[in-house]
Amino acid sequence: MIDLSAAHIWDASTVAVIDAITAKYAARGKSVTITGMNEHSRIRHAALVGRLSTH
Amino acid sequence: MSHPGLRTFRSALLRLSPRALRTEVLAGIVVALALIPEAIAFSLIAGVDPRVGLFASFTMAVTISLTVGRPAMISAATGAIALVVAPLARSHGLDHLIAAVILGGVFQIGLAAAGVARLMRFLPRSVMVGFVNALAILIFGSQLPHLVDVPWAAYPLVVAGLAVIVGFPRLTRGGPGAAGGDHGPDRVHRGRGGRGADGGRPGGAARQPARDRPARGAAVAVMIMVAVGTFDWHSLRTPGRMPRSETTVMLSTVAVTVATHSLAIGVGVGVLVAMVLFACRVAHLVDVTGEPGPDGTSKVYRVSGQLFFASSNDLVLRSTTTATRTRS
Repeated sequence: MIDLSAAHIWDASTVAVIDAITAKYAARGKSVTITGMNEHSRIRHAALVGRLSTH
Repeated sequence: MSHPGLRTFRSALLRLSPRALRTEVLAGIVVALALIPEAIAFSLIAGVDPRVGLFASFTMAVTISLTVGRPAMISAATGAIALVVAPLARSHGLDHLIAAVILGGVFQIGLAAAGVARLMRFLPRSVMVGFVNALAILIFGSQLPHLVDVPWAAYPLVVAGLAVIVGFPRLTRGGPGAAGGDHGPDRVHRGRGGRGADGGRPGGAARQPARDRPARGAAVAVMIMVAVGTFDWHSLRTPGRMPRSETTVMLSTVAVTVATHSLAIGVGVGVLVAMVLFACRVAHLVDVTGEPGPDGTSKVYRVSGQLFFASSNDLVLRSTTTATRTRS
């Protein structure tokens, strides 16, 4: 579980990183939940999550 | 008398008490007299006839008084502009210089109408201080050709000029020196005006014929005092208290401006450095802490700070290192 209540997501780079972390844990058979996002971060994350190509 | 400027001017005159009127007139005369040596010195710097500077100062003072004058505001010739226009005056002559000044004014009005002033918020204080300091160094540097490898008679003239500017106001009980005492926000503000029309490469003015030598000596003295007055000496005393990144921004603005002789490039690089260092500073505030979850098998990572391109990669490193540490 990743608690982002004291953090702020500002850009696509961050969403891509969170995607990558989720994927990495999923590969090891673990699931990741993200909690505590503020309104701005949640909208940004929802708009971009899963749609970014991995580099 | 339908012109709004003239109407404001007349109503302002009528509102003044005789005593205030006397103060205003005396202040006007003092400023006018103080501007004469400046205008002549800046003309020599710009490489034009001193009459050009005198007429320009007169035109500006009269125009501003009728249009957008403010209490304690002086609009006149500036060393910054003189320095910036000198190469143009040298290579293309007075006609082109006047055309360029008018075009610069048109650009300024256009930029003001477009609301470009809002972009000033992206100009950090450190860059402004760096700009002003670089300007002072360029002004001083432009005088070096007149101090190195010149007939010995030049030195006493410059020293006498400095002595008059520094010493005379003290003799006559207060009051700023003709030009040198002109420190403070007014000078800085006028200095900033130079940014509008620059991109040029300030350099030393063309050497004058020998008959101009006394005037040249006085002009060098005035410009040295202008350089001293322009420099933000306070900025040299604050580095200890200032965050290191702010000092870096200031110094890089100065270094690039002096190296390229372009105020525009210097300010551009200064803003870039400021933005990068700011991003670094904010990125360093990101913190990740890991702890066992409530159910005993999961883990909770608490992330605090601003997550963006400069900081989010840290997230992977920190969460995985914490993960490996807890697994081993």
